[in-house]
Amino acid sequence: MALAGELSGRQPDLLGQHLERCQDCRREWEAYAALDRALGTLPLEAALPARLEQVTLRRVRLADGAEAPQRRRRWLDFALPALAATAVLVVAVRLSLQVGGQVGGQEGSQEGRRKDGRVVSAPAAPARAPSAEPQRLAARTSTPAPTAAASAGAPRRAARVLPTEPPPELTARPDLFVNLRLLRNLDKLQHYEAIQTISVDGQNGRQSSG
Amino acid sequence: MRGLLAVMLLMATAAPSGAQRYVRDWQQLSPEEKQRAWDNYRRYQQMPQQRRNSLENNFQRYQSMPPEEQQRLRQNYDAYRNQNPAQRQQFNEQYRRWRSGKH
Repeated sequence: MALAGELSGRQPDLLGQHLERCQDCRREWEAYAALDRALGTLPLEAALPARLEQVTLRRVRLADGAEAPQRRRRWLDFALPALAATAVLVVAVRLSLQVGGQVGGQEGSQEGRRKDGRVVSAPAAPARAPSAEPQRLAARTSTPAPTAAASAGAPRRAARVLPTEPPPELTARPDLFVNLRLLRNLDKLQHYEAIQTISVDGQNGRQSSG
Repeated sequence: MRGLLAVMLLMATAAPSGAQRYVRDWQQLSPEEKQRAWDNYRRYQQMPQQRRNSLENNFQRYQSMPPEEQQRLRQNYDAYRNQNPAQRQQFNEQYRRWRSGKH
């Protein structure tokens, strides 16, 4: 403020008295005063060389032109991952549906039928598998490309490709897994006829298996 | 003589000590059976150990049955599968009663 002459009243005198006594303030004052003098020598306006003006404007235009492709690249940087994520999602949904159909498979055709006669889809078992083995197996089950037979309306199971290498546990006892549901109901099936002769409440007498 | 002994030894070792078993090889399965085996294998992997043990026992029993008995069970299984929901419910009730009377 003092350099700009904005002090009023006795303030310039007080400042002068203090500067006479305080060497540090006086040194700082002199530095500011030197800077103020130097700034005062600079012209307020300067003539711009024509060459510099042309070069600068050309650089501005080039920078503006280069910014457009950058904007496109920024859009692609966002769009490409989005497209990739969408593709992965579609494949994952397709795989899960297919694996769900496989798990439904033979037993799903019967077990998927509810008591009211409606058919429900089988659960996607590998997706909820707690162990890594079913997931590994599901991963090994390749997804077949749509074939002409499949596109012609052939049964979906016919187009499925079996994994080439079954695990040793499966090859060692294939009948265990082929007849799994039969084995689950072995007791019932062994005494199937006898069970059907048992009378049930609300019905008259014993029934014959026929 | 030595050849005869070798054949007898081979027969003795090949025949199971207990009931005769009828085991199929994976390559003998039809494509449909292979697919079913795969599906059921995945199902089996998710079963608790107790249930697996029960299935193992039933499998041993089934394997020890003669082919005629296995055929009878398969026919019963087909009949069981083809039950409509009402029939299935009734059969399961009959089975429950049969089992409670049995034990």
